[in-house]
Amino acid sequence: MIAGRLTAGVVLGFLLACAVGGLITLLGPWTPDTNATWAVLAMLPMWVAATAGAVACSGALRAWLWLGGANLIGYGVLWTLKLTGFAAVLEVAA
Amino acid sequence: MKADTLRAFTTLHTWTGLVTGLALFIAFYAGALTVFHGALHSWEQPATRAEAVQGPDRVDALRRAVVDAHPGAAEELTVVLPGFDGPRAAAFWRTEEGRHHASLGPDGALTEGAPLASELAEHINHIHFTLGLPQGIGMWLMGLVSAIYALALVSGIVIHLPTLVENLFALRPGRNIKRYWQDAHNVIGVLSLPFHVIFAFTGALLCVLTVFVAGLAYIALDERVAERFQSAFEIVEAPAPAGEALTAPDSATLMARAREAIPGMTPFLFQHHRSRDARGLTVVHGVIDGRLANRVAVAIRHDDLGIAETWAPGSRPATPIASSVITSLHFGNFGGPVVQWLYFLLGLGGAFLFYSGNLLWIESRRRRRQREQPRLHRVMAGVTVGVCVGCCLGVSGLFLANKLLPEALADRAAWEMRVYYLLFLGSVAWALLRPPARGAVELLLATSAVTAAIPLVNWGVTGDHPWSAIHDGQWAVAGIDLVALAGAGAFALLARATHRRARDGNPNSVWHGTAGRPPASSDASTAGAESA
Repeated sequence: MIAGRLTAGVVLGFLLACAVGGLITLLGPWTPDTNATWAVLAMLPMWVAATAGAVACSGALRAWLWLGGANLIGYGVLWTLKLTGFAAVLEVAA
Repeated sequence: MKADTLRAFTTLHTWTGLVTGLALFIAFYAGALTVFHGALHSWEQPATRAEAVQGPDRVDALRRAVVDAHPGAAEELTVVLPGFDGPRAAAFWRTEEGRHHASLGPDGALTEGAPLASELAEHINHIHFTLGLPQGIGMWLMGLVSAIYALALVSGIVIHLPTLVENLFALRPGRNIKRYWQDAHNVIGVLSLPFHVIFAFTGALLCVLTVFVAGLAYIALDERVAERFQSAFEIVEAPAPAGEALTAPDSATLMARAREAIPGMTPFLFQHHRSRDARGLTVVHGVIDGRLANRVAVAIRHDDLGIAETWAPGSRPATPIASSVITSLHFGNFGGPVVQWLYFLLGLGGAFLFYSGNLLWIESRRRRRQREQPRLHRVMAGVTVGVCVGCCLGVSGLFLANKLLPEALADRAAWEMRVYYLLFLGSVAWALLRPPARGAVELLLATSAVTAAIPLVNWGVTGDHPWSAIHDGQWAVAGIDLVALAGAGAFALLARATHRRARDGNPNSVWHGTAGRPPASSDASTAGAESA
């Protein structure tokens, strides 16, 4: 059964897509508005890719752990960037 | 690739396809037709067919008439320019009661609503992006379906990639009908893959963009990102009133000023903000041919005809560019009639892909040496036939309702949709009550008859038949009538093929004519050639 892997992909894959989208918005090479637009466009393919990646894992636990780890890293970097002053970039974006 | 991984992706492809297949059939069938939204609108409104395209003076007269009759419309008034969606200019405005629209008849009188109370083109578009459900629920559902569809595509690619080239042209006709359908499913799926990727991606974004914006704003960043996105689609903010009266410049002036600001632009829509105030401005929306991001806009102040803002190639923010590319790719409105016909054919091919996917699922799971098949398979066969053929029957019924419902009928446009629901739900019920193969043949014949009646009824009610329409240069009307005739022929051929399959095919299939009936003693358990 792939239900466990699929659930991991759908739930954690979406969160991961949000984190990577946030990183693109903060660190992308264009203006923050343009970065945010590209981030939103990239989120669906990232979500689908993460879900497909989860299904490719050999078991549900492995899928949850891989994606959970990727989320920890993604949100860790994101919050570090915000806490270390990159929030200023966000001010421009918003 | 490991066998386990391949099995997991095959399971994923099968179930995502099954879950979304029927919804996608409806979206693709109605979507193939809605590519020709403008042509459908011409067919829908016979009164305007022979009218000449209105000039700029009529656009100004319309604006005056609407604002005189409804002073509140002076605040926000949208005017679709003549020639874009019919020969008349059409004005749209909102009040507390809802959205209203009006046009000027040939005699100069203000006509509120469409000349004929019909929304055929809008109904087909509505079925395309909401499956005929209420708009809010339908759009969310189609967004979800599009995302799952993307997953079905990825898993399909993973499954077929190792043998892609080898199997691409392996269309093997012969006695093994299941293999033939599998080949057809694979070939159409692979050849139209880029088109499907575009649709999954743009469909999901058009329906549930808010989910991704909300995820970015509320989970990863800051709620202000969402606010920023909301305003990014407007070229300018609506101006505050000056309290001093000033009428908006005339249409010819506005169009000339817009073309001056963006050379090569073809204006198609005016968005008037405060059309009788000194601080008023008009946003002229237009297209530039030969570009994917073909939407441009220019905001013109009324007092000095100055340019408040321009969205031209090279000076547009990313959000309107992305929005323009997504809508162009989704609606196929970037390459003229050739691209429109390509989208039409690929849309029908996509519908076939989902129909054949469901049939393959049923066939590959049938018990090969046993006449009696699991109830689930018969129900699945009935639902597939009922939903798919029922959608085709319902859409053809919409065309007849457009012409045959009494013109004075209250709530006429809503009745058109009720005709669709009646035919669609009736077909589902019929397909579930009848043996699958018989139900399919009967519904296909009914669809063929109703579709063949479209040009005949059009001829009877309006006097326009394909030949006279071609003679009068009404290509849209002739095209729809001729496509309906071709469609009727195609449904009849499908009915004949299904009938033959029911008669000559494997008796242990749900598509055999005796499936769903109690088995006779001589053939209750056995077997036959496994070829059909």
